[in-house]
Amino acid sequence: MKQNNEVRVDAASKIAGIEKYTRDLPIKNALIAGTVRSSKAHARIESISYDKNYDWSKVTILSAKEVKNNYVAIIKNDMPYLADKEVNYFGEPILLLAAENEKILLEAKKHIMIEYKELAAATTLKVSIDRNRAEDVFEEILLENGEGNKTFSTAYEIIEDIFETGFQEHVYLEPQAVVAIPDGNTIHIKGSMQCPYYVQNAMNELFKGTEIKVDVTQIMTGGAFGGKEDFPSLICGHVALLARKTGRPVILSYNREEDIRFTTKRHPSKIHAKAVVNSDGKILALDMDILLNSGAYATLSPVVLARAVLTSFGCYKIPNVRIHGRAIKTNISPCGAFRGFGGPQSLFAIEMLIEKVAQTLKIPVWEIKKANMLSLGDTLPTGQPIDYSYGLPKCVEKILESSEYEKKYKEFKKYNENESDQTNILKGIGISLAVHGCGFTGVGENRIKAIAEMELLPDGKVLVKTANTEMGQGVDTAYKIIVSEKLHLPFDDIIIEEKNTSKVPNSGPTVASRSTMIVGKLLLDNCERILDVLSLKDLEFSLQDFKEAAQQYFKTHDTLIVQEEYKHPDFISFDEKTYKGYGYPVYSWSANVAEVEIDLTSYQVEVKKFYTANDVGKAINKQQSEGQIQGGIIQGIGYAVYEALCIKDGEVQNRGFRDYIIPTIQDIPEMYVDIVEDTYFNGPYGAKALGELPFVGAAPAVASAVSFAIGKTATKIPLTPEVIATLIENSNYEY
Amino acid sequence: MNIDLIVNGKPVSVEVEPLDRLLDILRDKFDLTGTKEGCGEGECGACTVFMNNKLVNSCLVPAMHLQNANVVTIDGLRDFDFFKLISKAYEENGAVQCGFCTPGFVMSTIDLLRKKSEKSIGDEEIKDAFAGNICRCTGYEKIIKAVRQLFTMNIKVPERFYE
Amino acid sequence: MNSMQCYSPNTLDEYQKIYSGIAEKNILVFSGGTDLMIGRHELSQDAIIIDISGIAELKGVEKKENKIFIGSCTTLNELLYSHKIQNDIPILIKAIKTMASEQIRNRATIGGNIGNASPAGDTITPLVVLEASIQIYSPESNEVKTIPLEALFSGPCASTLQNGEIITKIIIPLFEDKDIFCYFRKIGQRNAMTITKASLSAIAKYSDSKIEWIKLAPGSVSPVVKRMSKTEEFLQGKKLTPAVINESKEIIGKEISPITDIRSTKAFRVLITKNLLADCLSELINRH
Repeated sequence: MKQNNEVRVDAASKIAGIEKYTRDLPIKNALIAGTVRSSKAHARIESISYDKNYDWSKVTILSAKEVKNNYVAIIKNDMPYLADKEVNYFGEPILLLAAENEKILLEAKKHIMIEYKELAAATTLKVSIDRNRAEDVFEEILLENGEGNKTFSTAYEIIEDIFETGFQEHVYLEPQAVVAIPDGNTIHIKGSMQCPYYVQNAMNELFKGTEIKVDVTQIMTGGAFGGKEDFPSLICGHVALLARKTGRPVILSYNREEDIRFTTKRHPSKIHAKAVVNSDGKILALDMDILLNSGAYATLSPVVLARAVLTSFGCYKIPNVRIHGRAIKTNISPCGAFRGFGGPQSLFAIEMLIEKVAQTLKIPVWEIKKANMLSLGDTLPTGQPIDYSYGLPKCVEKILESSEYEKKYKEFKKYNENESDQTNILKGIGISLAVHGCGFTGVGENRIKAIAEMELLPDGKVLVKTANTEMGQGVDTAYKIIVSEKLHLPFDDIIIEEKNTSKVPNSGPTVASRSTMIVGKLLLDNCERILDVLSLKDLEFSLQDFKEAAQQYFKTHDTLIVQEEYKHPDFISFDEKTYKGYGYPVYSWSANVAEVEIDLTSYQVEVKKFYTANDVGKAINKQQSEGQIQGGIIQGIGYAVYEALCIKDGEVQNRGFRDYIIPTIQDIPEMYVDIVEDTYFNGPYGAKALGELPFVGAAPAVASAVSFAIGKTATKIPLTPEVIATLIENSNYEY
Repeated sequence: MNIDLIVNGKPVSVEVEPLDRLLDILRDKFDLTGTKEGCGEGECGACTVFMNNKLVNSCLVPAMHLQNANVVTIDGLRDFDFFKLISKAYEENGAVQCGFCTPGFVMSTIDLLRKKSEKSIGDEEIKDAFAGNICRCTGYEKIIKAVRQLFTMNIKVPERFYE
Repeated sequence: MNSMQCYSPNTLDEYQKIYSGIAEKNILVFSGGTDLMIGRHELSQDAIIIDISGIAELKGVEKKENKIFIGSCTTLNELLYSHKIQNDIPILIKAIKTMASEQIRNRATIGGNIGNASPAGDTITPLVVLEASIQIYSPESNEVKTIPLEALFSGPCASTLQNGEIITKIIIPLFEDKDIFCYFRKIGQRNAMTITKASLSAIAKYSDSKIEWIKLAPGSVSPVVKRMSKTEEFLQGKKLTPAVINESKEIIGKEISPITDIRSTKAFRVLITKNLLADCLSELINRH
């Protein structure tokens, strides 16, 4: 495949402001929906009353009593569309309202009184763990290999600590927005979402046993990062129910405050990690206790935990492990999918545990990482051999060179010893190795059985039918490149079908960095089949040849539709009880170096430079691959340094962008991006996962640099100035 | 109250409440949906427009300030020749991902281009100009690259529009 | 739902007439609106808005008799690009440069920033060390009075303005002596678009390796912005030895009274205010 550096197919329309997002759709005669929410973290609803003096004729009210199948279908189906007798988190939806405009909704909300009887609430992980109830454990996973943690009794040295990561809000620029349009017995749902078939399945369950049919169309989505994976099912249910009740189109769009306070977040984690090391820093055994704060309902927590467990040994060869993970219920807004999906939490723990090993043994951290890094042919604790598409060594080589890590390591040490007193600045350089398992965990892909379809049109154009959505990551352009390369068609002859569940097959959700690798490969296979039918397979042919062959074909046929269904190669298997086998069919790898400065007046960490090399198998579109990597790094720097969600008694205190702080253009480092292409045999042109990988390695690199600067292991993120001051000044400045 | 104003060169008259937001007026009354709402509190810049030739957050402008105002939005600028060059620079440098922040960044780009006649620009100056525009996808790097390139191209951007 | 009532006077006279015509006096004075618009749904629907942003007398910058007069409805960007301010009041320029964005500075007014009376208002601390005063117009008496800026603040986001009083001008005395040290530094949560966790404005006269005088006003660490008179007194006439700097840090640490809120903690604000003073004093030494 040639090096592609293609302009996105949607770039011009987005720049000109022509592209229509959900709230830009012209929807006639629509009602606006609003949500009445719990003001308690955990309580029984005693009564709901409506002010008799208020004119309710302009407002439609919908409560749980009217919802027959009141649980959102996803894994455990434990979250109600509307709370009925009990609320489990502050902000949980209790009632839905619909009216002609926002002003009526705001006014009507003031005339609804809800009385509660408060119940004991566990609004922090600690409270939930301390009360030690089996029903608070949504999921538990144990992975053991070798001697497990038995080696610890005879160990040379045990090094341990507790590592913590915080909440993170996605901050997609387009807030959640969905609409439902009734049309006879059908309800058309449109909205900003990653996974139209997740919504379709949820709606099928919601309206099971009724005459209602639903179809779902994804509208151009203004960023998602996981935040529009599971969450839209809930609000699509809300608008569908209101549309059914009112018989009118209903729009539900969150304002930023609602979006920040009441939608899903990245799971905070608390990980107790221990390593047995010999005097050279070779890791003999690893014991990890992973706790994920899941919030009030299970949503995707079981699979987030699975990825956390399978990422916990990072890029290292560790013969003996015991990894114990639990996803814990608390009375806060449910956590959900977010770029990295459990990986960033446990990768932070393993990377910082190694930092601690280095500081304890007084060996430079890179020496320890190098000594323990996987080599081609090594086996993971799951028993999976790493014997193909292992580009990490190449990534390491690239960043050591581009960053001059070893030289700066010495220079910065000298600087901190000799010059910091005058400049009031500490410098740090840090290194991280990161891994991201590509696609769904374990046998997930075999369960999904993704189907992608292509249709040859009589004019020789092709129609590409997948459910994989464009949310900024560039999937539409990537698919055009994949197909264009194979069929020699220009982009204009490749039409991407609308992501409407009545028009495209279920090619699985747009998550887990799987769209290019899994679905892109199905498209490539579809192309092969079309070429086969047109008798062009394995031949040299031109665009002209292709068009003629198509013409020829339609002389005797009416249609040509080809379909491919995904299945893992036969040798890929995974045991969900023991967590042994192929956690993922292949892995993407990255090596990262961060340079930071800490200002000793403000204790602010500023990331000055960031070097990253990412093995993505094959960059289908170089321009957009780089862009995703840069964006992932900055989001990762936000996670490491800036982004703090403040929760008090279960209530999110942040109200918007003024107090949920993400990086601006003035907070970014100089970035140096390298792409390594160690191809994967089963990806299109060798491509594997890209979207999440750059995020995963960023925070550990920054935290490693901070650890260097302050001479102590940074054990938690975000490393806000208050945390840094606490670490440097040995006194508490935190909340 | 009733207000008269000029939107993208057209005189219009509209019935509003004093504290209605310019953003909503543009989107709901005139169907000018190129201007986006990202935060509603002046932090993200997705709703950036020109008002009386000054760059403003349309989410923070009340209707009562609009009497006789001259408002120019992305929808009124896309057909200018210079816009095509901006678009090309954004496209070719990969400065767009989800695109929701993009119209706002483009408005700030136009403001910067029309104010500065020099052929080069420092990164600090670019970073000052975009302090009020938030992007969550790109990490900003490619936007900066596009703007840098635009300054080498000798683009003629009028100082005022529709006046 | 009734429409909110709203008036847009063009002169102070008109303002006075409108005010006199309102019986309930539940008025809401509106200028650039960059803060009020965010909370517009929480505003009382019965309030009567008087938008003063169109009053000509409240706009612009003027230099008279060694004083600078700034109209309260002058926007932050008008100040930023004003040559008079750039040359004569560099500390205010330093502060405004750290504030918000181009889009907001085109709308937000200095009178609004002051009138909000937020301890985190970034134009307030420079003006307090400059010993600025403000003119206040009362529509009831139809008179203008002048008070020291510090006297405007009665608590966090509470001012002493009442009965339709509005700030008309900010008056800043200029120094004959051009050799005045000035310092402004703000610590926020990131580099751009940030609300102050703690800040420090200072001006000082330094000669013969001694502080002749110094005026200090930290931001966001007390219910109202005020001068640090104890710290100032202590530093006056002192040579800036490490011991003196350390002692001054302790004094300012006790003179402020910050709180814990979503942006930071009390303990951290004390720590960084002390650090800001040390940073200011070391810049002062290095400058000379």
